[in-house]
Amino acid sequence: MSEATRQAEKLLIVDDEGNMRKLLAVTLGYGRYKQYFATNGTEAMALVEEVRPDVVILDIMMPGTLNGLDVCRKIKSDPALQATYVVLLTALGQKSDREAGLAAQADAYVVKPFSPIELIELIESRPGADNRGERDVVRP
Amino acid sequence: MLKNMSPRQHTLPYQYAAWLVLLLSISITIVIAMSVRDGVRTEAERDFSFYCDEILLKVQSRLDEHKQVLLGGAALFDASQSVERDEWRNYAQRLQLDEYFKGIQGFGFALLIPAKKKDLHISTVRSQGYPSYSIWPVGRRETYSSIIYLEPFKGRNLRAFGYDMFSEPVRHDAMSRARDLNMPILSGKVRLVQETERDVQAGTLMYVPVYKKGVSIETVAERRLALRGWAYSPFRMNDLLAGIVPENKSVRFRVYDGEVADTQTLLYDNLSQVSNDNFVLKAERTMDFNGRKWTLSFRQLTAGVGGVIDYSKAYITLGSGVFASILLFLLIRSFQNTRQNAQRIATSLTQELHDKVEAELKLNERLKLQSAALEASANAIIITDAAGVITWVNSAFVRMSGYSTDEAIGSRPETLSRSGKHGDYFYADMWKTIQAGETWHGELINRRKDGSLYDEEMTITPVLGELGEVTQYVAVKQDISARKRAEQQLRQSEERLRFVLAATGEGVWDWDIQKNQVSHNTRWCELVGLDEQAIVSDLDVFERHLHPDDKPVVMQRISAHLDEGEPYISEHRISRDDGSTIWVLDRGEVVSRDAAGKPLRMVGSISDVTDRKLAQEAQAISESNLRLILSNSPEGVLALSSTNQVTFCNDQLARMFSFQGLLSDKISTNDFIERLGSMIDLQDMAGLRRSLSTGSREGMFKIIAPKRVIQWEARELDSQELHTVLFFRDVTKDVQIDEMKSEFLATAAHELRTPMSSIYGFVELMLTRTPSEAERKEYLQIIYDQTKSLIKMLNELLDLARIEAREGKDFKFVSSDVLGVIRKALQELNLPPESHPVILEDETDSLSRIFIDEEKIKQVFINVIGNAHKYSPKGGAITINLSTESKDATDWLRIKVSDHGMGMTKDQAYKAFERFYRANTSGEIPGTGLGLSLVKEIVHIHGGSVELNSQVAAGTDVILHFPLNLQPMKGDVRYE
Repeated sequence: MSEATRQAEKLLIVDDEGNMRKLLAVTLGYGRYKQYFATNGTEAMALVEEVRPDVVILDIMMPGTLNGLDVCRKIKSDPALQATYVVLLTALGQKSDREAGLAAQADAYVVKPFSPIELIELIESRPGADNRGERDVVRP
Repeated sequence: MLKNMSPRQHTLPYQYAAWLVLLLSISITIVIAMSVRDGVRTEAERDFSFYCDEILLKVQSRLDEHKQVLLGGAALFDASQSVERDEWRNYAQRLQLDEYFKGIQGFGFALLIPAKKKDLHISTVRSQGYPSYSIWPVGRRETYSSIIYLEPFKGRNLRAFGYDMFSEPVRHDAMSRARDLNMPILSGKVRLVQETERDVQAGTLMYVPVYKKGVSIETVAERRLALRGWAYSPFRMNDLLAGIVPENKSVRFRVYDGEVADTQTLLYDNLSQVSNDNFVLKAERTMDFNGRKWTLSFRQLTAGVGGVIDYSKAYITLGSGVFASILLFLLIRSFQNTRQNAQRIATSLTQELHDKVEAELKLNERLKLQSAALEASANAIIITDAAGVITWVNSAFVRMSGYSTDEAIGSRPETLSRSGKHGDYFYADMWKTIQAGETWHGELINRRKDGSLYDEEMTITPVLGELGEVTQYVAVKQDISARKRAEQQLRQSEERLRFVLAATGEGVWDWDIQKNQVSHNTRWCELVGLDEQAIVSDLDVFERHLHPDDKPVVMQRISAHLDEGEPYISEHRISRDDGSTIWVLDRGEVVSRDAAGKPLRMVGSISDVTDRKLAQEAQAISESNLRLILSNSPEGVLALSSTNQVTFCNDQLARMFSFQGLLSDKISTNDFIERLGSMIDLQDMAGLRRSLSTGSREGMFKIIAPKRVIQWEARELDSQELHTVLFFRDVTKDVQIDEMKSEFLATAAHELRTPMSSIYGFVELMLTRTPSEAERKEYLQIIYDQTKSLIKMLNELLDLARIEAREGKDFKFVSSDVLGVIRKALQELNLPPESHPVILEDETDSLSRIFIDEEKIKQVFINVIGNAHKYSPKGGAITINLSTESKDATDWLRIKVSDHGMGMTKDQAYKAFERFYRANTSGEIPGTGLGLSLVKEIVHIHGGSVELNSQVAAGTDVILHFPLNLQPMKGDVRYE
């Protein structure tokens, strides 16, 4: 399979903190993904509807009516978004928080501070990821 | 035989008989008398009736007589051509009216005069020698009548001359009827013209019609035409009827005109003077004289001689009858009495005899009884003669002595029973006493027939004869061997007791209640502290040594034992003679009572129990102390027995769970858990049950209302009663604090993670990739900023923690000028004046010196003014205004920091002072979220307050107040 035939996958990054968005953008900015950004849950849902991303990275603690868990649940309960891979990326590291995340049917739960390398690994090896072929050599 | 019968009873029926006869005979008499009376009355009535009839006949015949006279007068007219005055006169005189015909007032003729003939008539009569004659009353009438003849023509009768009777209604009526019926007619009651004022009587007139001769007078019309006049007679009633009823004042005879009898119609009353109208008999008769009815009324009056009905016959009958009855009665009674007397004598004689017999019988019985009693006595009895020879013994003696009755009688007592234990003087003394006639009483030892000895109590009583000499001796003896033995045993056991008591060291007392004497043994005296060895005294010694506080109770206990048999066991204090006090255990019992049950003797012992008592008291004190401590324990304590009953709970437990009466209700562990269950969460409940059943040692549960957290611990003890003890602690506050701490830590950690993430992430990226120079610079800048932020956060955290922990104790308060501090803060901030000019307004008149920690307050202003700058990203002036204010009776220094930045919402303003709260988390505006928390803490410790007003897109005001007084106090934060 040639690189040219590979379609750009859509990645949605949701975090209210500018620095975090920047970090994630840089981390996953090796050309594989078309990146979209939202600063709160409501924006996120709008983009989800519009863009139908393949991967969503959600911060949990955000201002507004919807937090990350709500968005996660909504996505996961939508039959049209079955293939979407949702990663909860959050500073909440307690066991109970993890359990809440799993209960919301997140595909992965990553605690900040996180290793960018590990995050890339996680997303690239997700089920349904097209990892035949070459990846960006930047990936360590 | 003759029983107890009173003599009276026999004749009782007879007594009744006499009275009965009397009653009967009197009744009969009365009946007869009554019938006699009735007979008398009937006869009287009959006589009266006959009398009345007689009178009636008399009246009728009298009237008839007068009628005849008048008929004669009319006949004269019929027989003659004419009847002249003098002819009439002669006729009348011949009749000799006064003599033969009583009552006729006159004998006259009234002429009928038609009106047209009147004048002629008058003139004719006048010419006859009566010049003043006229017809009266005057008046025009159709027909006139006139009395032209009236004999005797004198006296009263003169007045009637010329009177027109026809003009008067009553007379007219009679005259008309006479004319029409051709009958003699009697008029109604009239007042005769002859009447003067004197002796007025009722009157009546009789008319007989006179017709023309040779004319038919069959019909009324013919009669009217043929009438010439009337022969008439006036009657004065009294004169007419005088003599009919003799001047007999017993009968009142009245005549009424007509059938109605009243004063109007009364014609005649023979007793007009008499007013008494009481009568015994009365009768009425009616008389009819050609249509004129007269009612004759007869009354037999009660007054007057012979006027009453003569009932004497009846009275005589009654009297004689009663008399006879009484005689009869008396006769019968006298018969009865005789009989009674005879009976009574007979009965009393028999009674005497009866009594005599009874007395004898009684005596015999008594004698029999006596000998039976003697015989039956448990005591042996000997009767001897004066010489001391036995004449009689009872069976008890036989039993006691072993000798038979035959062996005994004829022998002497001492021969039979002398034991040899007593000297001769003993028996001599006995004899001397009884021979002198005195009773001897004593104890001696006798010998039985078989030789065995026995103790005896004996009383010898001499029997004296009439002259005072001894005739017999009666000896009553009792075998007291058993008693003697018992006495000895008692003595022995008493001795034993004394030994025992001496050995045990108990004080002994022996109370003779009757004599009120107590003997106390040596040990008793020792205990009480007496010097004497052993004493006998009255109850006083005992009472004197009782402790005054205990004395009433002890005395009460003693009487309770004496009276009600309550066991006497008393612990009380004794005041010893040396002044010390000891506790004793005093026990006693009544050992003998008299026949009535009254206590005679009480014995008891006392022992020293001071040690034990003191120990008890100490224990009680320590127990109550413990109890006090426990009840004041802040922990709830609950003890359960091995059988799962609640045996103890302290006040705190009851308060903790708002239980009442845990102990009193005797509840089990399960009940307790049930009660708890209503207060705590279900899950906790299940957990608690599990813990308790599995023998867990501790646990925690939450109470729902009011919200509390209770921690419990269980301990197992060895006793049955306190098998398990549960301690409950209210850890609500601790839990809260823990939670707050955890929350804080969690939040802090979370906040720290955020900058860390950027740092870590970008560093890794830089290490694993080869970014461009520009990119690298960008990343490094981010790392740098985030690190700074981290450091600041850490510092602020530390500050906050320190301030909280130390509570301002390490603050250095100096008198300082706030304006100066603000200026220093501004210097450090170094705000760009172009975008953010600072305007300082001092309205305090330089009175802004207060006691503050300069460093801390500088920090406050750095934070507040820093915020004003941070949150006005588009620039804008920052105004700092200082003023003084008087509020709530205190003077304050007021500092307001205002900006024209982005402001915040009400929600953001509310949370502004919360730790780590940042209104803007986008990363555009740096901050830890701790700034205002720090400000709040510091201002608080200075006794001031801080508040925040804001409007979105307009700006924010932060207002600080500091008290202008000397001492800092705690304040609080207000939100707006």
